Amino acid sequence: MTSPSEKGPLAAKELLAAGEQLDRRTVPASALGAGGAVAAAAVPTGIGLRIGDVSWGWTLTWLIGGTLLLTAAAAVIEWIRLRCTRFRIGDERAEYVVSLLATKRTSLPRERIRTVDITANPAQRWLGVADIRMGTGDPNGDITLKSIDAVRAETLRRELLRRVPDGDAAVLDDGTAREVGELARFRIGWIRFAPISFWTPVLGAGAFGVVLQVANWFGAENVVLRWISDRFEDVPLLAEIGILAVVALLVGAVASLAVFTEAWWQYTLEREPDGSLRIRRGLLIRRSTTFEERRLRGLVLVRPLGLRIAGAARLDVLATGLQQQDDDSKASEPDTLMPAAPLAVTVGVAHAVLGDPVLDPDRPLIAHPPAARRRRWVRAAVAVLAVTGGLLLLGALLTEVLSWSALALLLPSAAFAAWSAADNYAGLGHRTTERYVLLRSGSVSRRTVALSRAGLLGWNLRQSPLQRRAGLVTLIASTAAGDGALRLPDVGTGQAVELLADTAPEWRHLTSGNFRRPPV
Amino acid sequence: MSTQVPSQGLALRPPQHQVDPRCRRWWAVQILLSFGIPAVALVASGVFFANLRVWVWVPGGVAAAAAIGGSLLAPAVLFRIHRWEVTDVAIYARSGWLWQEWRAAPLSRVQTVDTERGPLQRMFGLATVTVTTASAKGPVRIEALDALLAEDIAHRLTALAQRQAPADAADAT
Repeated sequence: MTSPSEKGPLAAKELLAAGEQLDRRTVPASALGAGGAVAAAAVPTGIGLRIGDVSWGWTLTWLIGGTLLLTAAAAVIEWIRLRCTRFRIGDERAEYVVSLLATKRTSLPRERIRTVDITANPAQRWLGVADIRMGTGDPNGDITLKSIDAVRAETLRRELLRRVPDGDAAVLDDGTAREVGELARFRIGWIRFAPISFWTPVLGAGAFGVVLQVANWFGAENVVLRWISDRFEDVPLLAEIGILAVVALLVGAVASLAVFTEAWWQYTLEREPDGSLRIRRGLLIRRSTTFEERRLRGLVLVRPLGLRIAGAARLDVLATGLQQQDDDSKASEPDTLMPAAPLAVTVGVAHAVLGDPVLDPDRPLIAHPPAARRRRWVRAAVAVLAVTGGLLLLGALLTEVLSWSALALLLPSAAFAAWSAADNYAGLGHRTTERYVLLRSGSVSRRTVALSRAGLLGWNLRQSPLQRRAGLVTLIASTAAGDGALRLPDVGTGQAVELLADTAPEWRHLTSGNFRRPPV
Repeated sequence: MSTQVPSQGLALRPPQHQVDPRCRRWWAVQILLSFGIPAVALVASGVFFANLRVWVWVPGGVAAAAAIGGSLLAPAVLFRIHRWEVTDVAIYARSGWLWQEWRAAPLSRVQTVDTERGPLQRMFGLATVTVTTASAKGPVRIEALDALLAEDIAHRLTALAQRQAPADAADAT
């Protein structure tokens, strides 16, 4: 926020004169970081140049020269940035100014800081510095200091989020004390869940694309394609496609393992004495994220199909003040509290975080009425008939192959539709407890939301014509956390009225039948 | 003349008040314009490009029929569905047509109350009241209120909401 306020932020000039400088070590750290990245890129470039018939001498000259030049450039840019940046963490505000050609000043009141993230890549860790980001939930209101002394960053983190004096136990608004200390710790076995993700095929396919793209830069596309087709000289085409698909999946599995390990290695979740939750994770880049506990509105137990088959689950956090994906396509802040882990472990952590066993899977939810199941079966049947009918029609008009494939696809698609209808219905459920509202839905991506009743702002109802005939209604819980709306599809109308009267007193006004004729 | 649509199985009574009766003409004009303008454009382009006539006059005719039929029939149905109510503790609104929405917001959670008057609304002396909470989604909107009544409601809501300290006010991002 750049608007001056009554709390008296410093003018940009004063801040430039009086503010602190970033740590000088940021220059070698950035140079090393950039150098490392360029050196890593040099390996495929070198292979490409060699394939492109460039001599060893020239190849090495290009690579070493390029690396040195880019590293030096990074150092110079960093040094200039260091010279034009000042910051100040006062009692009331955190302030930051960059002044090169234009001057940009950010000043935020400390009480608006909701998350503090610390990250450090290997070069920064070696030199003892770290980046610290103070988040307000407003994309324009963040301050990132890049970088400051690592110990200083840690002290700042604690000070910026401390709202209660040291030594107090974590006592929440509802008066319950919570477990302080470590709540979860990474186990090496968890990485087995990493390849069970839609990223595996995506990364696998992406790898082929990258190889061809790099080859294309050096005009070596044909060399690569010929090399591949040479491997499959005596193999029928179908087998070749099958083998390539398996190879892609294997590459994708390795890649998603690598991504997962980089992101979640040595993950720990702790509750600090003031009640805030802290996540630390990362293999190369170490990250530390801290949520204020009073921003927590609930948890989401995420169980996509793959994880359900593997008996695993992930935990997401419902918290206010987390940046959401907005129209400017800025990345939203990650809301994962815990990566995929065995269900029992995840549920235990959820229990520890909420201080309430609401997410335990052995506590059944209220199932939705049979009309909701009928709706799903009708939908499945319509989808299968539409696809088959469409293909048959096209087959009759264009080519017979489409008709045959329609018939061949009928059985598998019907089986999938039937499974999806049954599983989707089985996923529907809700329940209220003393402190939480539970909402569960979804099949391929199933989510169980535990929203605290204090964080529930209200309900909206939506009914389609078909829902009206079937006696169903979609409930939408509004909350300040996340994107603001949590959907519970196809609740029975009777159940809905009960849920509303139980959790939102304002709706009782419409259930009591006190209808007066409107004044004419 | 309380012509309430029965709420098919949903054991909720509709909010107490209907919107301003002038809304029917406002909605009629809206429908007439949103289908009528494309209809005119399509028919006119058929006049200039003779070889395209079949392709533009058929959809043009459909749009014209929708404009006339819709503006004659839809407003009465919309008028029966749109209802609202304000009490000392909450605001309620029902809206929609095929897809109907019931919305409510407790005044203790209300953050902003806005009134809005578009150019068409001004012609008919109407206004929209929008009430938002800390949630990014799902503001409660009452369209097509008498403009003076809308101002009145906005003032009353603001006063009521200020009296009931918002529990989530700290989350106003």
